[in-house]
Amino acid sequence: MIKARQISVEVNGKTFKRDVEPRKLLVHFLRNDLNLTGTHIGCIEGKCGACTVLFNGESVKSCLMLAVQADGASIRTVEGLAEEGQLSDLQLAFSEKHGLQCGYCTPGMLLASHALLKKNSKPNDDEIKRALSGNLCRCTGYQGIIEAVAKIAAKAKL
Amino acid sequence: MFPKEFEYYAPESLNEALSLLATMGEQAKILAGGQSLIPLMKYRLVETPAIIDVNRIRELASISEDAIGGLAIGALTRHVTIENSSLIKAKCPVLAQAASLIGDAHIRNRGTIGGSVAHMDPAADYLPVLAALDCNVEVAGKGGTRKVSWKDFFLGMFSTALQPSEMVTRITIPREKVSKRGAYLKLARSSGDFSIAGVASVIDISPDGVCAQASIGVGAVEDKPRRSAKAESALVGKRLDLDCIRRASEVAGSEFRGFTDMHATAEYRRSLVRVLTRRTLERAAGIHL
Repeated sequence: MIKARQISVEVNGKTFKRDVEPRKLLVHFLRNDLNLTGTHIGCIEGKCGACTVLFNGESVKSCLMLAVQADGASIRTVEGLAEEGQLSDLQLAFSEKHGLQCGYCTPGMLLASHALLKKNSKPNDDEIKRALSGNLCRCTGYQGIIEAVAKIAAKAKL
Repeated sequence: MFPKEFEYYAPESLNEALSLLATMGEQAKILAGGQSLIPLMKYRLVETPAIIDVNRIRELASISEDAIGGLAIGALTRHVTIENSSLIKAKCPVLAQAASLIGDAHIRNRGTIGGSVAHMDPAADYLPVLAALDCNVEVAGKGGTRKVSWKDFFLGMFSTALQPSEMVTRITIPREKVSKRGAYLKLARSSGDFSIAGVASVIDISPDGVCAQASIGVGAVEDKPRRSAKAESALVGKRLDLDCIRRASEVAGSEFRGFTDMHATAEYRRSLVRVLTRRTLERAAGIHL
Protein backbone atom coordinates (compact mmCIF):
# COMPACT_ATOMS: atom_id res chain seq x y z
CA MET A 1 0.00 0.00 0.00
CA ILE A 2 1.64 3.22 -1.19
CA LYS A 3 1.63 6.04 1.34
CA ALA A 4 -0.46 9.07 0.50
CA ARG A 5 1.33 12.39 0.07
CA GLN A 6 0.10 15.74 1.25
CA ILE A 7 -0.29 18.33 -1.45
CA SER A 8 -1.15 22.00 -1.24
CA VAL A 9 -2.93 23.31 -4.33
CA GLU A 10 -4.50 26.66 -5.08
CA VAL A 11 -7.71 26.19 -7.06
CA ASN A 12 -9.71 29.18 -8.25
CA GLY A 13 -7.95 31.34 -5.70
CA LYS A 14 -8.46 29.09 -2.68
CA THR A 15 -5.76 26.87 -1.17
CA PHE A 16 -6.54 23.23 -0.42
CA LYS A 17 -4.34 20.80 1.53
CA ARG A 18 -5.17 17.17 0.89
CA ASP A 19 -3.62 13.71 1.09
CA VAL A 20 -3.48 11.89 -2.23
CA GLU A 21 -2.14 8.62 -3.58
CA PRO A 22 0.56 9.31 -6.20
CA ARG A 23 -1.43 7.55 -8.91
CA LYS A 24 -4.52 9.75 -8.47
CA LEU A 25 -5.11 11.76 -11.64
CA LEU A 26 -5.54 15.51 -11.36
CA VAL A 27 -9.00 15.30 -12.93
CA HIS A 28 -10.17 12.81 -10.29
CA PHE A 29 -8.70 14.97 -7.54
CA LEU A 30 -10.60 18.04 -8.77
CA ARG A 31 -13.88 16.19 -9.25
CA ASN A 32 -13.85 13.76 -6.31
CA ASP A 33 -11.64 15.32 -3.64
CA LEU A 34 -12.62 18.95 -4.21
CA ASN A 35 -16.14 18.36 -5.56
CA LEU A 36 -15.43 20.60 -8.55
CA THR A 37 -17.38 18.55 -11.04
CA GLY A 38 -17.36 21.19 -13.76
CA THR A 39 -14.24 19.57 -15.20
CA HIS A 40 -15.46 16.62 -17.25
CA ILE A 41 -14.05 13.26 -18.21
CA GLY A 42 -14.82 12.49 -21.85
CA CYS A 43 -12.39 9.88 -23.11
CA ILE A 44 -9.89 9.39 -20.23
CA GLU A 45 -7.32 8.74 -22.97
CA GLY A 46 -6.17 12.31 -23.28
CA LYS A 47 -7.70 12.96 -26.71
CA CYS A 48 -10.97 14.85 -26.19
CA GLY A 49 -9.97 17.83 -24.01
CA ALA A 50 -13.13 17.79 -21.87
CA CYS A 51 -10.81 17.69 -18.85
CA THR A 52 -8.93 20.89 -19.80
CA VAL A 53 -7.98 23.15 -16.88
CA LEU A 54 -5.45 25.95 -16.44
CA PHE A 55 -2.26 24.90 -14.64
CA ASN A 56 -0.15 27.90 -13.66
CA GLY A 57 -2.00 29.81 -16.39
CA GLU A 58 -1.45 27.26 -19.16
CA SER A 59 -4.08 24.96 -20.60
CA VAL A 60 -3.46 21.29 -19.80
CA LYS A 61 -5.43 18.07 -19.95
CA SER A 62 -6.03 17.21 -16.32
CA CYS A 63 -6.48 13.51 -17.10
CA LEU A 64 -2.85 13.49 -18.23
CA MET A 65 -1.48 14.86 -14.97
CA LEU A 66 -1.13 13.40 -11.51
CA ALA A 67 -2.60 15.30 -8.57
CA VAL A 68 0.80 15.18 -6.85
CA GLN A 69 2.22 17.20 -9.74
CA ALA A 70 -0.09 20.05 -8.72
CA ASP A 71 1.58 20.50 -5.33
CA GLY A 72 2.41 24.19 -5.09
CA ALA A 73 0.60 25.02 -8.31
CA SER A 74 -2.25 27.36 -9.14
CA ILE A 75 -5.20 25.85 -11.00
CA ARG A 76 -8.24 27.40 -12.62
CA THR A 77 -11.29 25.30 -13.43
CA VAL A 78 -14.51 26.37 -15.14
CA GLU A 79 -15.97 27.18 -11.73
CA GLY A 80 -13.37 29.94 -11.51
CA LEU A 81 -14.45 31.83 -14.62
CA ALA A 82 -17.54 33.60 -13.36
CA GLU A 83 -16.77 36.54 -11.08
CA GLU A 84 -19.09 37.03 -8.08
CA GLY A 85 -21.69 34.80 -9.71
CA GLN A 86 -21.68 36.83 -12.94
CA LEU A 87 -20.88 34.93 -16.13
CA SER A 88 -17.73 36.19 -17.83
CA ASP A 89 -17.92 37.91 -21.23
CA LEU A 90 -16.58 34.72 -22.79
CA GLN A 91 -19.27 32.60 -21.15
CA LEU A 92 -21.96 35.05 -22.29
CA ALA A 93 -20.57 34.94 -25.82
CA PHE A 94 -20.75 31.12 -25.83
CA SER A 95 -24.37 31.37 -24.76
CA GLU A 96 -25.25 34.03 -27.32
CA LYS A 97 -23.51 32.33 -30.26
CA HIS A 98 -24.84 28.82 -29.41
CA GLY A 99 -21.33 27.56 -28.71
CA LEU A 100 -22.81 24.76 -26.61
CA GLN A 101 -25.64 22.22 -26.73
CA CYS A 102 -25.16 19.36 -24.29
CA GLY A 103 -22.45 21.30 -22.50
CA TYR A 104 -20.10 18.37 -21.98
CA CYS A 105 -17.13 19.83 -23.85
CA THR A 106 -17.93 23.37 -22.75
CA PRO A 107 -15.78 23.74 -19.63
CA GLY A 108 -12.77 22.53 -21.62
CA MET A 109 -13.64 24.82 -24.54
CA LEU A 110 -14.03 27.80 -22.21
CA LEU A 111 -10.69 27.27 -20.50
CA ALA A 112 -8.85 26.60 -23.76
CA SER A 113 -10.39 29.80 -25.20
CA HIS A 114 -9.58 31.70 -22.03
CA ALA A 115 -5.95 30.58 -22.24
CA LEU A 116 -5.79 31.65 -25.90
CA LEU A 117 -7.24 35.09 -25.22
CA LYS A 118 -4.76 35.65 -22.40
CA LYS A 119 -1.87 35.00 -24.81
CA ASN A 120 -3.46 36.64 -27.84
CA SER A 121 -6.39 38.96 -27.26
CA LYS A 122 -7.20 39.33 -30.97
CA PRO A 123 -6.92 35.87 -32.53
CA ASN A 124 -8.16 35.34 -36.06
CA ASP A 125 -10.30 32.32 -36.95
CA ASP A 126 -7.29 30.17 -37.85
CA GLU A 127 -5.62 30.95 -34.55
CA ILE A 128 -8.84 30.13 -32.69
CA LYS A 129 -9.17 26.78 -34.47
CA ARG A 130 -5.55 25.96 -33.74
CA ALA A 131 -5.89 26.81 -30.06
CA LEU A 132 -9.03 24.68 -29.74
CA SER A 133 -7.83 21.73 -31.83
CA GLY A 134 -7.32 19.74 -28.62
CA ASN A 135 -10.98 20.06 -27.64
CA LEU A 136 -13.56 17.87 -29.35
CA CYS A 137 -17.27 18.68 -29.61
CA ARG A 138 -19.88 16.20 -30.82
CA CYS A 139 -22.85 18.57 -30.82
CA THR A 140 -22.20 21.99 -32.28
CA GLY A 141 -20.02 21.43 -35.32
CA TYR A 142 -17.66 24.04 -33.81
CA GLN A 143 -18.92 27.07 -35.73
CA GLY A 144 -20.77 28.60 -32.76
CA ILE A 145 -17.72 28.07 -30.56
CA ILE A 146 -15.43 29.83 -33.02
CA GLU A 147 -17.90 32.70 -33.35
CA ALA A 148 -18.09 33.08 -29.59
CA VAL A 149 -14.33 33.42 -29.25
CA ALA A 150 -14.21 35.64 -32.34
CA LYS A 151 -16.76 37.92 -30.73
CA ILE A 152 -14.46 38.46 -27.75
CA ALA A 153 -11.55 38.97 -30.14
CA ALA A 154 -13.53 41.59 -32.03
CA LYS A 155 -14.36 43.43 -28.81
CA ALA A 156 -10.63 43.58 -28.03
CA LYS A 157 -10.00 45.24 -31.37
CA LEU A 158 -12.16 48.25 -30.49
CA MET B 1 -8.52 3.37 -16.12
CA PHE B 2 -5.98 4.54 -13.65
CA PRO B 3 -2.38 3.47 -13.19
CA LYS B 4 -1.17 0.68 -10.95
CA GLU B 5 0.31 1.86 -7.63
CA PHE B 6 3.75 3.40 -7.67
CA GLU B 7 6.14 5.27 -5.39
CA TYR B 8 6.58 8.88 -6.44
CA TYR B 9 9.73 11.00 -6.27
CA ALA B 10 10.08 14.61 -7.36
CA PRO B 11 13.80 15.49 -7.26
CA GLU B 12 14.70 19.17 -7.49
CA SER B 13 18.15 18.71 -9.05
CA LEU B 14 19.72 16.59 -11.75
CA ASN B 15 22.10 15.02 -9.22
CA GLU B 16 19.19 13.96 -7.03
CA ALA B 17 17.44 12.42 -10.04
CA LEU B 18 20.58 10.57 -11.12
CA SER B 19 21.16 9.19 -7.66
CA LEU B 20 17.55 7.90 -7.57
CA LEU B 21 18.07 6.33 -10.99
CA ALA B 22 21.36 4.77 -9.89
CA THR B 23 19.56 3.03 -7.03
CA MET B 24 16.39 2.05 -8.83
CA GLY B 25 17.48 1.53 -12.44
CA GLU B 26 14.75 -0.36 -14.28
CA GLN B 27 12.47 -0.14 -11.25
CA ALA B 28 11.71 3.50 -12.05
CA LYS B 29 10.37 5.47 -15.00
CA ILE B 30 10.99 9.14 -15.69
CA LEU B 31 7.93 11.39 -15.82
CA ALA B 32 8.48 14.54 -17.86
CA GLY B 33 5.52 15.93 -19.86
CA GLY B 34 3.55 12.76 -19.25
CA GLN B 35 1.59 13.14 -22.49
CA SER B 36 2.72 9.69 -23.64
CA LEU B 37 3.63 7.99 -20.36
CA ILE B 38 0.43 8.72 -18.44
CA PRO B 39 -1.90 7.35 -21.14
CA LEU B 40 0.26 4.19 -21.28
CA MET B 41 0.04 3.84 -17.51
CA LYS B 42 -3.72 4.39 -17.54
CA TYR B 43 -4.05 1.55 -20.04
CA ARG B 44 -1.62 -0.42 -17.85
CA LEU B 45 0.58 -1.00 -20.88
CA VAL B 46 3.27 0.40 -18.62
CA GLU B 47 3.49 -0.61 -14.98
CA THR B 48 6.31 0.69 -12.87
CA PRO B 49 7.12 0.43 -9.16
CA ALA B 50 8.35 4.03 -9.10
CA ILE B 51 8.02 7.31 -10.94
CA ILE B 52 10.75 9.96 -10.95
CA ASP B 53 9.06 13.25 -11.81
CA VAL B 54 11.74 15.52 -13.34
CA ASN B 55 9.52 18.57 -13.89
CA ARG B 56 11.06 20.45 -10.97
CA ILE B 57 14.60 20.23 -12.37
CA ARG B 58 14.64 23.71 -13.91
CA GLU B 59 18.23 23.40 -15.08
CA LEU B 60 17.06 20.86 -17.69
CA ALA B 61 14.87 23.38 -19.52
CA SER B 62 16.94 25.69 -21.71
CA ILE B 63 17.68 26.70 -25.27
CA SER B 64 21.13 28.05 -26.04
CA GLU B 65 23.63 28.68 -28.78
CA ASP B 66 27.27 27.90 -28.22
CA ALA B 67 30.25 30.05 -29.19
CA ILE B 68 30.50 28.56 -32.69
CA GLY B 69 26.78 28.46 -33.53
CA GLY B 70 25.70 24.99 -32.44
CA LEU B 71 22.38 24.72 -30.62
CA ALA B 72 21.65 22.94 -27.34
CA ILE B 73 18.16 22.21 -26.04
CA GLY B 74 17.58 20.90 -22.54
CA ALA B 75 15.56 17.71 -22.27
CA LEU B 76 12.82 19.33 -20.20
CA THR B 77 12.17 22.08 -22.78
CA ARG B 78 8.47 22.05 -23.67
CA HIS B 79 7.23 21.84 -27.26
CA VAL B 80 5.49 25.21 -26.85
CA THR B 81 8.79 26.82 -25.82
CA ILE B 82 10.60 25.43 -28.85
CA GLU B 83 7.70 26.46 -31.11
CA ASN B 84 7.92 30.07 -29.91
CA SER B 85 11.66 30.40 -29.33
CA SER B 86 13.01 33.41 -31.18
CA LEU B 87 16.46 31.82 -31.25
CA ILE B 88 15.22 28.59 -32.86
CA LYS B 89 12.92 30.41 -35.28
CA ALA B 90 15.82 32.59 -36.39
CA LYS B 91 18.57 29.98 -36.60
CA CYS B 92 16.89 26.62 -37.19
CA PRO B 93 13.18 27.13 -37.94
CA VAL B 94 12.54 23.55 -39.07
CA LEU B 95 12.71 22.46 -35.42
CA ALA B 96 10.13 25.07 -34.39
CA GLN B 97 7.90 23.94 -37.26
CA ALA B 98 8.01 20.35 -36.04
CA ALA B 99 7.24 21.42 -32.46
CA SER B 100 4.26 23.46 -33.66
CA LEU B 101 2.72 20.40 -35.32
CA ILE B 102 2.87 18.10 -32.31
CA GLY B 103 -0.55 17.15 -30.93
CA ASP B 104 -2.50 20.16 -29.74
CA ALA B 105 -1.96 23.26 -27.59
CA HIS B 106 -2.47 21.43 -24.29
CA ILE B 107 -0.06 18.66 -25.25
CA ARG B 108 2.51 21.21 -26.37
CA ASN B 109 2.28 23.00 -23.02
CA ARG B 110 3.46 19.90 -21.18
CA GLY B 111 5.29 17.62 -23.64
CA THR B 112 9.08 17.83 -23.74
CA ILE B 113 11.71 17.16 -26.38
CA GLY B 114 13.66 14.89 -24.00
CA GLY B 115 10.56 12.84 -23.35
CA SER B 116 9.80 12.52 -27.04
CA VAL B 117 13.37 11.43 -27.79
CA ALA B 118 13.49 8.90 -24.92
CA HIS B 119 10.06 7.48 -25.80
CA MET B 120 11.02 6.86 -29.44
CA ASP B 121 7.55 6.57 -30.94
CA PRO B 122 8.39 6.09 -34.64
CA ALA B 123 5.65 8.58 -35.60
CA ALA B 124 6.96 11.39 -33.36
CA ASP B 125 7.41 14.69 -35.18
CA TYR B 126 10.85 15.65 -33.86
CA LEU B 127 12.54 12.44 -35.00
CA PRO B 128 12.93 13.02 -38.76
CA VAL B 129 13.96 16.62 -38.01
CA LEU B 130 16.60 15.52 -35.49
CA ALA B 131 17.84 12.96 -38.03
CA ALA B 132 18.10 15.60 -40.73
CA LEU B 133 19.96 17.88 -38.31
CA ASP B 134 22.40 15.09 -37.34
CA CYS B 135 21.66 15.79 -33.69
CA ASN B 136 23.38 14.25 -30.71
CA VAL B 137 21.58 13.10 -27.59
CA GLU B 138 23.33 13.79 -24.30
CA VAL B 139 22.67 11.27 -21.61
CA ALA B 140 23.62 11.17 -17.91
CA GLY B 141 23.77 8.13 -15.65
CA LYS B 142 25.82 5.93 -13.36
CA GLY B 143 28.79 5.96 -15.70
CA GLY B 144 28.80 9.74 -16.07
CA THR B 145 27.63 11.64 -19.13
CA ARG B 146 27.91 10.58 -22.73
CA LYS B 147 26.98 11.98 -26.12
CA VAL B 148 25.24 9.61 -28.54
CA SER B 149 24.61 10.36 -32.21
CA TRP B 150 20.95 10.12 -33.26
CA LYS B 151 21.73 7.06 -35.34
CA ASP B 152 23.16 5.20 -32.38
CA PHE B 153 20.45 6.46 -30.03
CA PHE B 154 17.24 5.72 -31.97
CA LEU B 155 17.32 1.92 -32.19
CA GLY B 156 13.77 0.93 -33.07
CA MET B 157 10.13 1.27 -32.06
CA PHE B 158 10.10 2.56 -28.44
CA SER B 159 13.71 1.50 -28.15
CA THR B 160 16.71 3.72 -27.50
CA ALA B 161 20.29 3.33 -26.32
CA LEU B 162 19.35 4.49 -22.80
CA GLN B 163 20.67 2.19 -20.07
CA PRO B 164 18.53 1.57 -16.94
CA SER B 165 20.30 4.18 -14.80
CA GLU B 166 20.36 6.86 -17.50
CA MET B 167 18.25 9.80 -18.56
CA VAL B 168 18.35 12.22 -21.48
CA THR B 169 19.66 15.65 -20.46
CA ARG B 170 20.21 17.59 -23.70
CA ILE B 171 19.80 17.48 -27.44
CA THR B 172 22.50 19.24 -29.44
CA ILE B 173 22.60 20.28 -33.07
CA PRO B 174 26.08 20.68 -34.56
CA ARG B 175 26.92 24.06 -36.05
CA GLU B 176 27.33 22.64 -39.58
CA LYS B 177 23.72 21.46 -39.61
CA VAL B 178 22.07 24.53 -38.12
CA SER B 179 20.31 26.06 -41.10
CA LYS B 180 17.63 28.60 -41.90
CA ARG B 181 16.70 26.62 -45.01
CA GLY B 182 14.62 23.81 -43.66
CA ALA B 183 11.03 22.63 -43.68
CA TYR B 184 9.02 19.88 -42.03
CA LEU B 185 5.68 18.55 -43.20
CA LYS B 186 3.59 15.67 -41.95
CA LEU B 187 0.43 13.96 -43.00
CA ALA B 188 -1.96 12.78 -40.32
CA ARG B 189 -5.59 11.74 -40.55
CA SER B 190 -6.75 14.58 -38.40
CA SER B 191 -5.30 17.45 -36.44
CA GLY B 192 -3.23 16.29 -33.50
CA ASP B 193 -2.74 12.75 -34.71
CA PHE B 194 0.65 11.13 -34.98
CA SER B 195 2.05 11.17 -38.53
CA ILE B 196 1.40 8.58 -41.15
CA ALA B 197 4.52 10.06 -42.77
CA GLY B 198 6.72 13.03 -41.88
CA VAL B 199 9.62 14.49 -43.83
CA ALA B 200 12.17 17.14 -42.88
CA SER B 201 14.38 18.69 -45.54
CA VAL B 202 17.33 20.86 -44.56
CA ILE B 203 19.64 22.30 -47.21
CA ASP B 204 22.63 24.53 -47.54
CA ILE B 205 23.19 26.59 -50.69
CA SER B 206 26.68 27.87 -51.47
CA PRO B 207 27.22 31.47 -52.66
CA ASP B 208 27.25 30.37 -56.32
CA GLY B 209 23.70 29.00 -55.98
CA VAL B 210 24.58 25.31 -55.90
CA CYS B 211 23.33 22.89 -53.24
CA ALA B 212 26.24 22.30 -50.86
CA GLN B 213 24.42 20.08 -48.38
CA ALA B 214 21.11 18.28 -48.27
CA SER B 215 19.56 16.29 -45.42
CA ILE B 216 16.26 14.54 -45.81
CA GLY B 217 14.90 13.01 -42.60
CA VAL B 218 12.04 10.57 -43.00
CA GLY B 219 9.81 9.63 -40.10
CA ALA B 220 6.85 7.40 -39.34
CA VAL B 221 7.27 5.09 -42.31
CA GLU B 222 9.74 2.74 -40.65
CA ASP B 223 10.44 1.66 -37.07
CA LYS B 224 12.84 4.58 -36.53
CA PRO B 225 13.75 7.82 -38.33
CA ARG B 226 15.85 7.46 -41.48
CA ARG B 227 17.82 9.63 -43.82
CA SER B 228 17.22 9.40 -47.54
CA ALA B 229 20.88 9.18 -48.54
CA LYS B 230 20.20 8.47 -52.22
CA ALA B 231 17.91 11.48 -52.58
CA GLU B 232 20.48 13.62 -50.76
CA SER B 233 23.26 12.71 -53.18
CA ALA B 234 20.91 13.49 -56.08
CA LEU B 235 20.80 17.07 -54.83
CA VAL B 236 24.32 17.91 -53.71
CA GLY B 237 26.28 19.82 -56.32
CA LYS B 238 23.15 20.69 -58.32
CA ARG B 239 21.19 23.86 -58.76
CA LEU B 240 17.87 23.25 -57.02
CA ASP B 241 15.05 23.88 -59.46
CA LEU B 242 11.61 22.25 -59.47
CA ASP B 243 12.77 19.45 -61.80
CA CYS B 244 15.81 18.57 -59.76
CA ILE B 245 13.68 18.49 -56.63
CA ARG B 246 11.00 16.38 -58.27
CA ARG B 247 13.59 13.79 -59.34
CA ALA B 248 15.15 13.66 -55.88
CA SER B 249 11.76 13.21 -54.27
CA GLU B 250 11.06 10.24 -56.53
CA VAL B 251 14.29 8.69 -55.29
CA ALA B 252 13.22 9.32 -51.69
CA GLY B 253 9.84 7.76 -52.38
CA SER B 254 11.41 4.48 -53.40
CA GLU B 255 14.19 4.39 -50.85
CA PHE B 256 12.10 2.93 -47.99
CA ARG B 257 9.63 0.05 -47.94
CA GLY B 258 7.26 1.53 -45.41
CA PHE B 259 4.69 -0.66 -43.67
CA THR B 260 0.96 -1.31 -43.79
CA ASP B 261 -1.29 -0.77 -40.79
CA MET B 262 -4.82 0.43 -40.13
CA HIS B 263 -3.92 4.01 -41.06
CA ALA B 264 -2.22 3.46 -44.42
CA THR B 265 -0.62 0.94 -46.76
CA ALA B 266 3.11 0.76 -47.32
CA GLU B 267 2.48 1.95 -50.88
CA TYR B 268 0.65 5.04 -49.66
CA ARG B 269 3.41 5.78 -47.16
CA ARG B 270 6.02 5.60 -49.93
CA SER B 271 3.91 7.93 -52.02
CA LEU B 272 3.65 10.34 -49.08
CA VAL B 273 7.42 10.32 -48.66
CA ARG B 274 7.75 11.32 -52.32
CA VAL B 275 5.22 14.15 -52.05
CA LEU B 276 6.39 15.46 -48.67
CA THR B 277 10.03 15.36 -49.78
CA ARG B 278 9.18 17.42 -52.82
CA ARG B 279 7.13 19.94 -50.84
CA THR B 280 9.67 20.34 -48.03
CA LEU B 281 12.56 20.72 -50.48
CA GLU B 282 10.65 23.36 -52.39
CA ARG B 283 9.94 25.24 -49.17
CA ALA B 284 13.50 24.85 -47.90
CA ALA B 285 14.85 26.15 -51.23
CA GLY B 286 12.34 28.99 -51.17
CA ILE B 287 10.88 28.07 -54.54
CA HIS B 288 7.51 26.58 -53.71
CA LEU B 289 4.62 27.96 -55.69
